[in-house]
Formats: sequence, structure tokens, C-alpha cells
Amino acid sequence: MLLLTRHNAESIIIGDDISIKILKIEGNHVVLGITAPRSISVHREEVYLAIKNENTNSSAVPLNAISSLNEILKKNAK
Amino acid sequence: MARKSQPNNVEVKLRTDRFGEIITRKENIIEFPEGIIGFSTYHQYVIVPHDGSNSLLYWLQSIDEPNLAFPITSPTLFKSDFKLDLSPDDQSKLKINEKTEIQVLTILSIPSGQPQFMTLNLQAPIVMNCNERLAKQIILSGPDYPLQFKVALNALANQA
Repeated sequence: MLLLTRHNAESIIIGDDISIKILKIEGNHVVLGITAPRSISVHREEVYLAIKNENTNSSAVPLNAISSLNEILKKNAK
Repeated sequence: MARKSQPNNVEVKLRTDRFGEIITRKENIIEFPEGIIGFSTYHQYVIVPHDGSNSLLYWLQSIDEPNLAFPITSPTLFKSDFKLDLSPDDQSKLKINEKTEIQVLTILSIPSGQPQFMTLNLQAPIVMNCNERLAKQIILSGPDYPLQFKVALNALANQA
């Protein structure tokens, strides 16, 4: 992990197109401003990991589970 | 009526693990500039109904990876009061204005072998700009948008 020290209002640039600026330091939290190209997503890490995990579980749902669910839904609709 | 330009009508053949070879039109391809969260290298998908034209359940099938598909549905089918809260940043990324036709989809999950316990990911729904065929998995926060919304299957909100 690269360690850099920044003061308030200073920035970091990643590659040619991503920059992170420290906008506010207050107590034990920091407000960051992030600029990145449209194709790069930026998320709070714990949120990203939770959603990635859920997406991964969803991508592993087998076809027949959805077929079973489909049957249940059809029955309920009647 | 606008003349459809030739390239979008072109038929595209896709290899998929779940459905074998499917044929769709280029205009049905949906572009995800950021990909799906955790799957950032895949940007192009098509929506495949699970069960013919009256299907309530669909799959978001990757064009580039035959094995990758997410089961999806419309959140309002299962939670009639689901309201989308689109941030200005997401609106801009999706090129959405008041005239844009949008569609909201949610990825569902099923605990192993128990379809009756399906959940919907309301925290990270997919918003699509239908005019541009552009989409993004957005992140919502707050108690109205749980990651695993438990669906009461016997209380199906309404039939599309």
C-alpha cells in the first residue's frame, strides 16, 4: 500500500484521470472529492463489498431455482 | 416514424450457458459503462425473459461471458411502493432528463434450494435509460432499500 500524507485541500492523482482531493478534515472524518472518468465506479468500500458479494450470489442462482420460483409465482397469481 | 438505421437491426448471436445460443438484435444490447458492481470488466448485456413473453422473471445476460447472468425482475411487482431516488450524479451519467424513458430492475437472490425465500437487492437496483440503452447499478441508502428485501410470495403486489 502506498502511503502519502496530504493536508486539507491537497490532492492525489491516480493514473492520468483519477484525482482525490481532501475537502474537509473534521474530528475523525474526512470529506473527499473524487474525480474519475465515467467508466470508473467509486464507492465506499464496505458498501461495495456487500453489494459485490450479493451480486456474486445472484450470479450463481441456477436456472432451475428461477424456474421453481416462476412456478410459485404463477400459482400465487391465480 | 424514424427509419431504423441498418446497424441496430443487425442480428447478433450470443453463446450463453443457460439458454444455449440466442439471437437478438444489436438494438437490444444494453451498455453498462461501469459494469455491474464486482464485475467491472463486462459492459454489455441483454435482457432475456425466463419464460416467454409473459415472464415476470428475466435474466441480465452478459454478451461477453456466456456463464454470467443475473436473475432480475421489476421491483414494483413485489414492492408496489418502491420509489427510485436518483442522485444528480447518476442522472448525469445515465443522460436522464424529464423526457427520458427509464426502467428500473432489481437483481434477485435465492438461498440455496429455497425459492420461497427469494430476496431482492433494493439497495443496488439497475436503472436503465431506455432511449440510449444505457444502464447503471446505482446504490441507494436508507431503510427503504435493503440489500436483501424479503419478498412475501403470497402477496404479489400486482401483475404487470
